[in-house]
Amino acid sequence: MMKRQATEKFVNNNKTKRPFALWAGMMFLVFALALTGCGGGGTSAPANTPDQSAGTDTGTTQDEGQTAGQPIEAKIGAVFILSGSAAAYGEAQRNGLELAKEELNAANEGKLHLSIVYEDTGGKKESAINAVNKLINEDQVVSIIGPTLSSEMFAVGPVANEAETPIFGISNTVEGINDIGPYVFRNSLPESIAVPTAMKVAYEKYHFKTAALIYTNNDDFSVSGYETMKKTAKDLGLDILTEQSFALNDVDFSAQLTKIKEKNPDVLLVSALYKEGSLVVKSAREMGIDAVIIGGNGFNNPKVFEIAGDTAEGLIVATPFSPEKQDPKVQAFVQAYEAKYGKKPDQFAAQAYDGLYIMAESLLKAGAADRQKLRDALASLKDFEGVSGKLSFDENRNPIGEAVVVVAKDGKYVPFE
Amino acid sequence: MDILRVEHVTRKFGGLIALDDVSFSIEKGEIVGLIGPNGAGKTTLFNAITGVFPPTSGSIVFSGMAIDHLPAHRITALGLARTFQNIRLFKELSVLENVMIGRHTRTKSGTFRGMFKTPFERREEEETRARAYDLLARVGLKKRAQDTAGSLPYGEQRRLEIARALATEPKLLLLDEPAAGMNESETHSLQDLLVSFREWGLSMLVVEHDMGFVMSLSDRIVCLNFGAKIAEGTPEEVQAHPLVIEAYLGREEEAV
Amino acid sequence: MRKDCLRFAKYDSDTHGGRGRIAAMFWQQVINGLTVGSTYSLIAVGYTLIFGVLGMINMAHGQIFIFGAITALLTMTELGWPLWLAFIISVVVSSILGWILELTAFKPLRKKDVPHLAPLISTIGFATVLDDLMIKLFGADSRAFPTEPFGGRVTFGPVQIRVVDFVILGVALLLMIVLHLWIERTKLGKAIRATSENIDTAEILGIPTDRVIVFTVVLASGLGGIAGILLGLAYGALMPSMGLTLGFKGLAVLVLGGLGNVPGAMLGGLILGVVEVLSVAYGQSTYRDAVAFLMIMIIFFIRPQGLFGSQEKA
Repeated sequence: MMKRQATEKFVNNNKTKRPFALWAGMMFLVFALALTGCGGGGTSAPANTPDQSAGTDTGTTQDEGQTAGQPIEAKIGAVFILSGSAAAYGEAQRNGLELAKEELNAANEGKLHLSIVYEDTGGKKESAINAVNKLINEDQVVSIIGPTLSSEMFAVGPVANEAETPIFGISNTVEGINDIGPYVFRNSLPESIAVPTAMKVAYEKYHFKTAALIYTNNDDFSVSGYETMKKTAKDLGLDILTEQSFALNDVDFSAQLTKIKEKNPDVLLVSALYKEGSLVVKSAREMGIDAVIIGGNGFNNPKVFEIAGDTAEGLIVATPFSPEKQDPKVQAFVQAYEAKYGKKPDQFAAQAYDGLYIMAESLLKAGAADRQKLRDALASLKDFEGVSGKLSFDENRNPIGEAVVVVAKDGKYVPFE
Repeated sequence: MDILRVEHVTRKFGGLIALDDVSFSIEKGEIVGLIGPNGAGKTTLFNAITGVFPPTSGSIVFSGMAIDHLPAHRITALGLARTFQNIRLFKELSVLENVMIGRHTRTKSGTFRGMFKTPFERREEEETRARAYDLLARVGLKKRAQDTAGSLPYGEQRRLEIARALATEPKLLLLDEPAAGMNESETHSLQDLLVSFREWGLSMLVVEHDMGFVMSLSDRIVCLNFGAKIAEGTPEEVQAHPLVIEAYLGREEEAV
Repeated sequence: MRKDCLRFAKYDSDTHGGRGRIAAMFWQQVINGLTVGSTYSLIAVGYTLIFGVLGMINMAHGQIFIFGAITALLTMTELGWPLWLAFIISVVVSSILGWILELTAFKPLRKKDVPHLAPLISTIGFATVLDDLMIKLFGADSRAFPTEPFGGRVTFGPVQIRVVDFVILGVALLLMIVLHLWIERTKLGKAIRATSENIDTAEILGIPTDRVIVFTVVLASGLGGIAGILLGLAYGALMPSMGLTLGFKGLAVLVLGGLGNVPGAMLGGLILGVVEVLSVAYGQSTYRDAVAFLMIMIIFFIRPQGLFGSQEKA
């Protein structure tokens, strides 16, 4: 009632006109700014017009009747987190893909032309499912790269598999991804290979006896890593003193770390994405926990050093990709990436880059932008030499590769000795 | 010289005419009673004068200045204060603070210079406090200064509201049913209190249903019915006015 | 700084026997909770002030203070400005955003006959715009917040407290005491309280309520700016998404403390922080938020007006 009186009172106030104009102007300005902001990061329309005439008539094939002189036109869908709190992963992946696309299109001129349709999931399973359905049915892509998170892959893998469209994970490291179906692939090494490698190598050196675990409990990737860590710790005969957990986007870990400090373990095993993981490491060191810290795959990101700073020193991680690796192929990639984006590539960019190279190689092998032929070509991948090491698929399409164990030293990862 | 002049004021709410071409004036130092049956437009007229609902047409001139479209806080600054039919104290603030807030427009430090306590502001605040205590003493509430306003009994809340209105240093005080809910002795002491304010040359416009109270307090009476002025004059004249009698017909036993 | 990470210096856990160690850990956890809680309090005070004068929740508060804090962080990391200057930058940027919010999301709707909840929606719009702007300007990444100046730890018997925690608690408590006294004692403080209780009456008594509202929104946002810097110190990093997640904690405290009650918000924040940390320490870390919000629901069951709210306002 009283509020209403107040409003009434103002209706006849002749001072209102000027602020309104100001308001309208400012709102316009702010929205205009925000919109240009979205343009770069939002979902994009089909990138290339030549594709459209080719791909509209049939559900599973494109360009089948092409003549020998014409290049294969392949439209590929990419489903990444491009907005929200985890957009950093998706950005790195898109950067990796874009760089690979430019290189591949230049190298295969006249033979193969790739175009990529990006879809943003914001890290949400529902959005991922919508995106994949759109890519398969509307954009008629020949295959899909992504999604970013393992939990998203469990949501959309069955959809793509049902539609007999190859879906290729480049950052899904959880156990069981390949069990979704024959159309599901990944080039990211499962944590079940990477994490035990790191733990065993570190154990050889330190012979620790007791361990504590801390992990993100509402993220499939981190939980899977935690399970692998726990199993490996048991295999090594370690005494697990305590297990602590936290949630995605948490920033305060003081309660958990106080408990861990009180138990005083020899080794602290951290399974988390880099955002939370770096903060855990930082807080742990600041609180005076002096255990050896071994991290999961999530720590394979230069951002770890930006956030954790000095406290990252000594952190041990297994990685398929290290920008410090003295390999001409890796160094060429790092240089090209730095030139284009002004920062060093991380594992997400590297595996995206490799992913598109694998896709291109398989498309050339298949000889057409055909979903079924592409799947068969992918399944027979052997000894692919990428920036993240040598890769083959076993009979279940599980990636077989090697993990390098690295340790943080002076703000970067160096090979662990 | 008149302190307030209401000229042909009309107020419409949608299709409803709440005030219909009302005109009257109040002289300096005069107490005017505003009467009329329920729904006659008395409170609407108060709201029009104090800027809560500005008039749809007509004008209101207060000490020589048109105030009909000023924001309420500016009207207060010009020297017009009011109390409410349903008491509106800041119940969570102390009795003293309620009165001190009333001094808001009368202190030089201004709302925003009062952010920090410079020596000047400190001195002024002391003055404000002293002045607030004086007013509380005047209405007999000095002892309750530190209590929260909401804890006072009803009659004392009425007095506090009057003290708070006086703190704005008004030339004209609008009282909306000040005696409502009071017993006979409380009503008497309220009347004595209000009459005592004449010494400051304070003008008053009083809406009241207690006819005995309003007739003995007022110099002049204005009677409204259905939004229009039907009579104006001394208490005796108005009581004898046929239209007034008609308006109150059948309700006389309640009115006296 | 920590060259000896890999050394296995055995913490002398054996010397403090059972009960002493358990008590020490309890107090350690309480301190942890107070540190976290004091940042919740500062955030909640921002919501509370605005709720007081406008009767409306400012859904953009979280985005506003994190925007200010990240801007300030950038001046530290990119331009090498000192921490004290960062506090000022954060307050200034947040205040300006608060002022724009008042101008765009609150004021135009105050002057029109719009549904009661319209300003709530317009603040959500403002929050979305700020979120997008932040992603565009700063990226979604978390950024390290330099805590080196307060690097060490202080030992009280078996309890070790980070120096930075002292700084956070100290600044937050000092600020809240100053704010409380300021609201209680100054003329403008009284005007804000009067406007909170009844805007029309305040206007009638000569208080320029429009300007009081503008000032309050700016003040609340500026306080948020300080909270943002303290968050950076507490957690060692800032990211745009913290605006939303920590904003919700502040909202819970707003309600817990009794809508619009400033001391209630201050105490409510500390209580929520301690309860959260203890629920992780002695319960399941999985249920951190669940336990905290369950507590809030129980409190409402017993005291529907919140811990410190008056019957009438609820």
